[in-house]
Amino acid sequence: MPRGQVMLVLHAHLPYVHHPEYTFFLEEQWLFEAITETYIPILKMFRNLEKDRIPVKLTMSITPPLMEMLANADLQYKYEKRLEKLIELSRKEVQRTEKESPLKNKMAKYYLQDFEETLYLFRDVYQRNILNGFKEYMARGYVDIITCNATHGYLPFMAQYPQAIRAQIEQGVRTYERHMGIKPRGIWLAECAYFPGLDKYLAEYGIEYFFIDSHGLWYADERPKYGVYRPVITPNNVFAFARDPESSEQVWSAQIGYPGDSRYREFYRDIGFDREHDYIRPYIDPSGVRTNTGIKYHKITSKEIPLEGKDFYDIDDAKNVAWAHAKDFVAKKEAQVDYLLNLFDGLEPIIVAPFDAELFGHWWYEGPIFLEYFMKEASKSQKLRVVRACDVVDWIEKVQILTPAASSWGANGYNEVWLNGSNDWIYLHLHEMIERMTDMAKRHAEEKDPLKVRVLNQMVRELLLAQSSDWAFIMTTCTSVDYAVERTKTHVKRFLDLYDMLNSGNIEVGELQRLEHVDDIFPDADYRMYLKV
Amino acid sequence: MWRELQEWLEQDLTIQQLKAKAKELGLSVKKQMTKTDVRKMIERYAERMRMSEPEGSMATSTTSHMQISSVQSKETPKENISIPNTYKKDKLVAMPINPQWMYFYWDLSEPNASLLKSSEINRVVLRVYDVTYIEFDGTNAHRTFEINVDPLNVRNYYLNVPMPGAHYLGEIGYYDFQGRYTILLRSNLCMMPFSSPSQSTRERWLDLRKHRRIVMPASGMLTPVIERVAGSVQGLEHLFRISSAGSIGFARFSGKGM
Repeated sequence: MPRGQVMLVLHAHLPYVHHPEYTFFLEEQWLFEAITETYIPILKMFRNLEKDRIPVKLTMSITPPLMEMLANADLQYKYEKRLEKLIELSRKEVQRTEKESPLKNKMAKYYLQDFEETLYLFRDVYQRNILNGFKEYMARGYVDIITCNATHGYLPFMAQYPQAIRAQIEQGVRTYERHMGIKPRGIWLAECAYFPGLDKYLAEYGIEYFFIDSHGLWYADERPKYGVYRPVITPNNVFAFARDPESSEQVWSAQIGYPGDSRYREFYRDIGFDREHDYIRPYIDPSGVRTNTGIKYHKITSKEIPLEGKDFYDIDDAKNVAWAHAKDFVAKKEAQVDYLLNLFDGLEPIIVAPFDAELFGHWWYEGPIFLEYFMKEASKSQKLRVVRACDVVDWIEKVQILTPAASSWGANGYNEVWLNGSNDWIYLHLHEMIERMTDMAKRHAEEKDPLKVRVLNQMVRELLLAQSSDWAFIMTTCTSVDYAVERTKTHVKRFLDLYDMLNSGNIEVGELQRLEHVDDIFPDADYRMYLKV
Repeated sequence: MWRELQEWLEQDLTIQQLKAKAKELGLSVKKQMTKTDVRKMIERYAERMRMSEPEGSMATSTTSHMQISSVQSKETPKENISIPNTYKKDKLVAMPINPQWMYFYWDLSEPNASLLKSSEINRVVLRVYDVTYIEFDGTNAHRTFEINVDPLNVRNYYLNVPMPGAHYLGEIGYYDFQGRYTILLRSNLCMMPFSSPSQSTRERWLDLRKHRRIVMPASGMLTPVIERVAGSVQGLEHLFRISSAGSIGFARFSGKGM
């Protein structure tokens, strides 16, 4: 019996934030929160389903900066300290909430147990590097881990510089290989941003498949017979999977999306903001600025009710809701499959549902539980087959050839999130850096002096870090703008300083050493990538 | 070693304990030093050990004061991050924003910047040529658009263009008082995104088993498609409001397409 194939794709990404010169740095908390709330819960899901012998098929990109951060000893150490503090705080909360409310007390106990389990997994099971966990489940066929371009750079804005695109892809492939021990088969293009011609570079690096937004197929050079419900192959022999808008809407939409359910946990009520300052001080930013702790006692209740009026949260209620939502999602996918099978005359539709991984757990606290229940429910379905991207590529027999259209998954589907009045100033610098990098790579193509090679490779790191699409994105969304602006300027400045050093021949070893220490991504960066024009 | 020291510092310590520790570490303790002073001194010491690098090459702040713990921000010299606003190179760059809008920015060499100030120049223009699928020789564009610009004071331009999917080429040039036009800069080729389904009448397929390519007349799309209306509200922002202080502080989820 033909079935519908369902492919869930999680894109796990955070920009590279590591400040080894500080014991506490606010933006490093992004990583720590995501480890506690998203990445480890996904591993927990694998473990639970493994215990229940439920098959799991997931596709997940872990971007190069995220891999570098997860494998970084200093960040691992800082994370462990952070988690220990959280455990200490939840112990206090267990006592304190005893007198406050039974539901709060129940949650405090839940958090304590949950954080302790997280610490156990992090420290004892995965030896502080959770990539070990993902590697293990990849080897066992649970998850297809794919890569991303080096620093999540926005590739359409490098179209006139093939060497810059190649460097982004080559560094992405190399970083994946260094951490995972094998070559990546698939890639998640930063922001799902594609332009005709990009597939040629992917093919050069042995990439077999990538992902695009729906209109990338709808507006392709020839009409896709099966719409977004079958992958296509480009003239350069790379498979492209397109996003199913229906599945996204069921999870995303403000009106009908699951995460907005009143019984789910409210993201914006955190004891980091609720408890009195003296008490919470050791667990927030040492400067006294209040931050999220991850301990939250309230549910969404109703979108109309202000934060102060929210009711208490109950994890068991929320789990029941997640269960119902998982069942509902399976039922909706089955109905969609019936419809598509009929339309396609029995040919199996392939439904691709990509999401930011951090939606699950960090924003939508019950997201990983929903995923777990979805896998359970889907395994019982006679109509669905949950698959990984690599499975489809291995099985597919006949595929339409076309060139997808320029597109991204940003607001309105094109480039405006990464190019508008708030961030347009960065491109003068980013393009100039590419030109200088290329020029220097040519002038030093046969460089033997190890010190000069170090300067050249550090220039690569500064350039790649400056190219992260996150900075332009943050400038657009008006959150943490100062940090994004400063990061961009800092990498531009450091790059120009290194360029001047090399140009003048007057290399300050101390300064070079400092930059290698503070911008310590990609130990294997190689400036010769920029010779590939 | 520095880790133990940092952990030790996390306790609630008396000034006597702190001073004893500082002496033990060989740091010079002065009588008038306050508890915070001594604590800071030990913190710095731990930090130095951690870096195990020559003094002076350590902590340098790269971010605004908001993000740095107050203890350290006083200690660390801020890295000067002023960057140039011109590279004094002749450059005109065209970038696609969406099917209807393109963006230009430019930079000028000193000779050209002073040329544009000269009294021979009547007006300066930004030209846009539609060169879709042609070898452009300067005269054969499908269409040519022109607007007056002040390239010394304005360094970029957002332009509404008529044809999605077209290939545009930009040019900055000037007219003298005799009406003669001179080119100054030309841009890269800018390919605009498409915003509608293809009109192509063929379909190509690859049979992966037989390694064969098949070309046939187009059968159109079997699935009905509900397209988005450009510029419409996506509805995601309402659910995932933007977080303040600390959390993955940017709404990676707002504005994802539907």
